[in-house]
Amino acid sequence: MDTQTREDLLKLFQSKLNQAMRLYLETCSRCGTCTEACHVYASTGQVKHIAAYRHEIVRRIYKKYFKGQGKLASALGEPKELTELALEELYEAAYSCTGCRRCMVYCPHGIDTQMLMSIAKLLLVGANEEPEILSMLADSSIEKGKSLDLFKEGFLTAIKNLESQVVEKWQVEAGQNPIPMDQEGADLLYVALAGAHSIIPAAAIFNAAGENWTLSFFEAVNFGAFVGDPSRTKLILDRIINEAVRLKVKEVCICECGTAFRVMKQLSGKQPFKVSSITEVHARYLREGRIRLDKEKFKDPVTYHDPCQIARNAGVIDEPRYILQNLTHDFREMTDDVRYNWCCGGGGGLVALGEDTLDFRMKSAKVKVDQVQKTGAKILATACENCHTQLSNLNDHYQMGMNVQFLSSMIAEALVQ
Amino acid sequence: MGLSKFISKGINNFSKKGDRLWAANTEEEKLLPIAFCPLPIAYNPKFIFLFNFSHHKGEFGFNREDKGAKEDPMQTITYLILVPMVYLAYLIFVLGIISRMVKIWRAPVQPTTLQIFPEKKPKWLWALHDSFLLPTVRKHNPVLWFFLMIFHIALLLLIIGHLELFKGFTFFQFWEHEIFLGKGFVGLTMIIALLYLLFRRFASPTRQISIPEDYYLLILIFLTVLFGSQMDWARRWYGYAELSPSDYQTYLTSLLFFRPELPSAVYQTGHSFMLVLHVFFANLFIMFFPFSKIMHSFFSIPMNRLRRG
Repeated sequence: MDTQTREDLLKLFQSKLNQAMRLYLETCSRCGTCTEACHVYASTGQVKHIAAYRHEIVRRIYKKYFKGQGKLASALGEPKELTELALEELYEAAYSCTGCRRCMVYCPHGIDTQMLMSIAKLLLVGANEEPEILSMLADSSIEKGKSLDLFKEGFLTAIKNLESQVVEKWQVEAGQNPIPMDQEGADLLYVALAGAHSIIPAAAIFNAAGENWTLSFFEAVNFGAFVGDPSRTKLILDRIINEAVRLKVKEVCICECGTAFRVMKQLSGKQPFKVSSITEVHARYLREGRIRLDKEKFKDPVTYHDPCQIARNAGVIDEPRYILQNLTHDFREMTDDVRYNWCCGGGGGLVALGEDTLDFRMKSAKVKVDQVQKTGAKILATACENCHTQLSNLNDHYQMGMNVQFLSSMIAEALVQ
Repeated sequence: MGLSKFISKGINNFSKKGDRLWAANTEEEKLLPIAFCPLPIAYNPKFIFLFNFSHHKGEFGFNREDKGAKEDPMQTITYLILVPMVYLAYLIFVLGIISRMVKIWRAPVQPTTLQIFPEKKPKWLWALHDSFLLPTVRKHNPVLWFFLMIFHIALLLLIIGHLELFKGFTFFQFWEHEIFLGKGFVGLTMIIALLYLLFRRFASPTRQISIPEDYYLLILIFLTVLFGSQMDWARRWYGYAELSPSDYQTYLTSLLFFRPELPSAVYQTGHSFMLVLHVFFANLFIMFFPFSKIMHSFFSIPMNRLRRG
C-alpha cells in the first residue's frame, strides 16, 4: 500500500473518531466476558469471532497511528500497520459481524462492536475493497433518488398490477384506490421493499384500518448502511425524507426491515415527522380496535424472532407480543430476556451478499437453530426482510420443518372483514 | 510557626512509637490541601533538590549516624526511587489523565443514540449499577465476577489504608483499628484474585484476546501488592517492629509537603528494601496508568451511560 492511500485511509479513520468512538477504542480491558456473546463464536468456536478479538484489530491500527503508544511503546499493545493484509483482516472481521450488538449487552463497559466495525467497513470502502454487490446496490438506490421521473411510470404500472391481489385480501369499496401513491396530505407514508410480499399485506391492513396512507416510490433498505459508508447512507435516507416532506405526511412507517428502521428512527437525527415501524402501527390499529384478527386462523404454536435492529437496538419489543397475543392461542418466547436473543446470522449485509455468504451464514447460526427448535413451535414469525430470508435458508439447510412467516403477512391473513 | 518548623516538630513527634497521630489536629494540618499541588515543583527554587542529588546527604535527605562515611550507591538508588521518582510518577499520572480526558472531550459528540433496549429508568442510576456491580459479568461468568469484585474492593480498601499512612483520620476510626484495618488479609485476598486474573489469561480463549499490556499490568500490580503486603505481614504476623506506621507517616507526610524526609528506619532497617521495591513498582504502575486500559476507571461510567441511553 502506498503512502498516499494510507494517508487517505487514515483520514477516513480520523473522521470516525468522535467521543463515543474514542471511548470504545481506548477502553476494552479484554476481560473476555463477551466470549460467548457472538453467535458466530458460539456456533463455530473460532477465537477470531470473539467480539474483543474482532475490535482489537481496529484498535491496533488506532494505537499505531493515533496514540503515542504506537511510536513509543509498541511492545505494550502490538500496534498494527495499515497494510493490504490488515485490510483483509478487517474485511473478515467486519463481514462476519452482523452488527447485532449482542456483545454490547455482555460487555461490562458497554462497548459497541458495530460502531467499531463501521471503521473497518469505511476503510474498506476507502480502499475499494468493500463487497461489490453492496456498493452497487447502494449506488443504484442513490441513482433512483436522483432520477425519479425515469422509472416512475414503470413503477406505477407494476403497482397497478398488484392492486387486484390487495383487493382479494381486503374488499374495499368501489372507486377507492387500493394502493395510493404520491398522495399529498396523506397521514402516513409507507416505505416498502421492492417486492410484492412487502406491499400487498401491508396495503390490505392499511385499507382495513381505514388509514389515509400513501406508498413511497423508494425502497426502505439502506445498502449504504450495510456497506458502512456514511455519505451514501445519508443520500439514500434523504430520498425518503424529501418525499415525506414534499407530501407533508405526519408519520413515516418503515416496512419490515431492521436496517431501514434503525437508520431512520435512531441514526438520522430529528425529523419533522414521526417514525414508526410497521409492527408498531399494526399494534396501534389493534389497540384502537381499527382491525380485528381471527385468533383461530393459525392453529400451530408460534414463536417470534426479534430482529436485532428493531428490538434490542430500537426498542420495538412489546408491540409484536401484543399482536401475537391477538393472533394465536399458543405463543412461545425464545428467550426470557429479549436482549439475549440470538441474531439470525444474516444482518450487516450478509444476506444481501447472497450465495457468497450462504455457507458461512448456515454454519454461524447453529445456535439460532437450536434456540428456535427448543420452543417446539411450528410457525416462526419475524418482522425483518433479512431475518426472514436467513431464517428460511436455515429452515431449508437444517430441515427444521418450520413455517417461516412475516408478522404482517400473518396479520393480513387473519384479518376479520 | 512556619511550615518547615511544623514538619520538623511533627517528625520529632512521629518518631515516638505508638503515638496516635490522628489525635493531633493543629492549625498547620489544615494547610495540607494547599501543599498538595504540583506547581511549586516548577516555581519554587527550594525544590531544586529534586534534581540535585548531592543535596540529599544534608538537611533534606538521610540523617545518617556516620556522616563522614563514603557514599553508598544503593543509598542514591533508594533516594531516587523514594523521592524524585514518586514526584515524577505523580506528575505523569496527573498530566497523563488530564491529556487523555481532554483528547476525548474535544472530539465531536456522538450525534445519535447508542442505547440498548428495553430501557430502565432512572438511566443514570442503572449506568452506575452497570459500572460498579458488573451485572453482566455476574450473569455470564460468575467466577470471574467473584474475583473481579474482591480484586476491586480490596484495591479500594488498600487505597483507604494508604490514606491513613499520611495521617490518622478520625473519620476512619468510626471502627477503631490499627492502620490497615484488614490486618494483612486484604492484601492477601487481592494477591489471590490477581493470581486468578493472571492465570486465566494463560488459558484459551482469553489467551488469544490478551495483549502484552494485560500481562504487564497484572504482574506490575501483583509485585506492588506483594511487596506492600509483605511489609504489613512482617509487622502483623511476625512481630517485625522496626518499620512502624509512624515511620511511613513521616516519609509520606514529608513528600506531601514537598519537604522530603527519610527516617532512618525507612532506609536502614533490614526490611527497607521491601518498601523500596513496593514504591518502585507502584511508581511504574502509576506512570503507566494514564496510558493503559486502567483508564476504564474513568471511562466505564460514560460508556455505560451511552448504553443506557
